[in-house]
Amino acid sequence: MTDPTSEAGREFGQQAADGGAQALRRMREFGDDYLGITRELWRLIESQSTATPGASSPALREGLEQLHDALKEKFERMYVPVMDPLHAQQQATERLMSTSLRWQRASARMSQLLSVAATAAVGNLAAALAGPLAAGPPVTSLRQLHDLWVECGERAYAAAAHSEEFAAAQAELLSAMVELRFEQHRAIEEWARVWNLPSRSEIDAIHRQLHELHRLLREARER
Amino acid sequence: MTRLAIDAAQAAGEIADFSRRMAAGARALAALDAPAEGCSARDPVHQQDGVVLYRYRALAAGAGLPPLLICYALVNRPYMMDLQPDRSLIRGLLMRGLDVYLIDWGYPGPADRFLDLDDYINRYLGGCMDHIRRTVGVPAVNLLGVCQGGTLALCHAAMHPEAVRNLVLMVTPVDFHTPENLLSRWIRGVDVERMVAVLGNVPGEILNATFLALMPLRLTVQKYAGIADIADDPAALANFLRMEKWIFDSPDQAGTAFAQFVRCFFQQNRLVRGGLEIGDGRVDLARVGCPVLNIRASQDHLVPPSATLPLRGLVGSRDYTDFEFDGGHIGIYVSARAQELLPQTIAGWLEKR
Repeated sequence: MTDPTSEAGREFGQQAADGGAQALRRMREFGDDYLGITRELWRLIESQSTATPGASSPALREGLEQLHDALKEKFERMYVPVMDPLHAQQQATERLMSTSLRWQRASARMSQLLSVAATAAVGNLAAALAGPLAAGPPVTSLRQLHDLWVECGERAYAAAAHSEEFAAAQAELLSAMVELRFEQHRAIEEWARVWNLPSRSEIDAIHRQLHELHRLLREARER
Repeated sequence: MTRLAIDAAQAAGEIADFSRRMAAGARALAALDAPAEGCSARDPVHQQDGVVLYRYRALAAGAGLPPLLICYALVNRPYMMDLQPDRSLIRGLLMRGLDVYLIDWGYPGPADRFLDLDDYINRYLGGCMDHIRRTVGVPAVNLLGVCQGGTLALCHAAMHPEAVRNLVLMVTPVDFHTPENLLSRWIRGVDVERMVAVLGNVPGEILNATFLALMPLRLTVQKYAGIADIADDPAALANFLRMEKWIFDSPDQAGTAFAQFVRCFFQQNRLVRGGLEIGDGRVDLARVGCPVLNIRASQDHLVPPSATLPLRGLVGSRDYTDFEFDGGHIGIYVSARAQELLPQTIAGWLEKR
C-alpha cells in the first residue's frame, strides 16, 4: 500500500524538478535571444554613427523601440510561475537584464548627441578654413590645423553640452549606470547571503552604527 | 578662398618631428621621480580622524597678523597651494610674514561614507579654528577658503562669525545657478541621494571624468600634444608631471557629505535662496560681518565669475572687496603672474585690517 505522505512528497519533488528544468531551459533560451538583441543593438548604433546625425534620430529611436519591444516579449515568454526561490531568482535576472538594456539605451543616446557635436565641429572647422566668413592668417602647419580643430571642436561641444537635452541624457546615463550597479550589487549580495559571507550592506550598517556611536561619544565627552 | 596652405612635404616632416618629440617626451617623463606633495616645511599640529591641520614654518619675520587658516576643497588635494618653490601661494604668504595653517582633508575611506557637511564644516573646520585660537591665544582667525573650500569657509563664517577675523575667498562658488555654470546644469537632474545610496563614497575617478568632460579636447588631446613642445625641457616636464599628479589625485568623496553638497548648493542654490541648515545651525550669510575679500578668475571654466559675484549682496559685511585675476581656475594658483600678485594682494589686504 502506498503511503499517501510519501506519494505527495514524490509528486512535489517531481514537480519542483520539472519546474526547475523548465525555468532553466527558458532562461537559456532567453540568454540566446538576449545576445541576439544586444548584437542587433550594436549593429544599429554602428549604422547610426555613419549617418547624418540630425536625420538619424527618428530611425535610431524607432530601432531602439523595436529592440525594447522584442526584449519585453522575451521577458514575458521567459516568465514561469514556479516556486518561490526560483521565482525570486527569475525576477532578479529580469531586473538585471532590464537595467542593462536601459544603460545601453542611455549610452546610445549619449553617443548620438556626441556625434551631432562632432559633426558640428567639422562644420565649424570647414567654415573657419574656407567658408565665406573665414578670417585669419593662413594655416601653414598641421599643428596650427590641430589647434584650430580643437578650438572649433570645443565651440561645438560647448553648444551641445549647455543644452537641456544633453544634461538630461547625461543624467539618464548616470541614473542607468547607478541602477545597473544596484542590481549587480543585489545579485552579489544574494550569493554572499547564501554562502554566509559578509556583504557590503552589512558593512555599511556597521559603519553607520559606528558613526552614530562616535557622535554619541563626542556628545557625552562634551557634557 | 581658403586659409589652408599646408605643404605636403613640410607636413610629412612635421609628423616625423612630432612623433620623435612625443617619444622623447614620454621617455623623459618616465625617467622622472614621482613628484613630491608640496615643497614648504610644515608640521602636523592637530588631527581629527583622517583630517590633519598643518602649520607652515616661517620664512620671514612675522607680520604681526592673526594666523591664516587655508580651507581647501574636498575634491582635490591641497598641495596645489604649494606645488613647487616658484609656484606656491603658501610660500608667497610665508615670505610676507604670515603665520599659515592648512587643513588636509585626507582620503575618505569606506568607513567615512556617513560623514556629512556638519562634520566637515562644524567639527573638522571648527575644530581646526578652535585649536589655532586656543594655542595661539587669539579670539579670531583669518580664514582663506579656496574653491569648494571657500563655500565651506563661508558657511562656517556665517554660523560662527565670532571666530573669523577676516574672510578671504578664492574662486568660490556662491550662486550655483548662473547660466555659464556647466557643472551645475549637468548635475541638477541627477538623483544624487540614490547615487550615493548605491555607490557609497563617490569615486574620485567619476569627478575627474566630469571635470575633463567640461572641455574634453583642451584638457586631453591638446594638453598631451603639448608634451612635444617641452620634450627637451626637463624643468617644464617636471612641472607637467606635478600638475598631472595633482589633477588625477582626486580623493573619493564621503557619500553623505557629497549628496548634501550637491543637493543644497548645486540643486537648491541655498546660499542665494536661503534656508540652508548644517547640523543644528542655520547658514545666514547676513551674519558674515567681518571684512571679506572675494577673489575670482576672469576665465574660470569651473567657477565662472558670475557664480562668485553675487556674494557682495548677500553678506552682512560693510567692508567688502572684489578682486579679479586675469586667468583661469588653475592659473590663479600656478601661473607666473599669480605668484607675485596674489600673495601681495591677500597679505596687503589683511595688513590693512
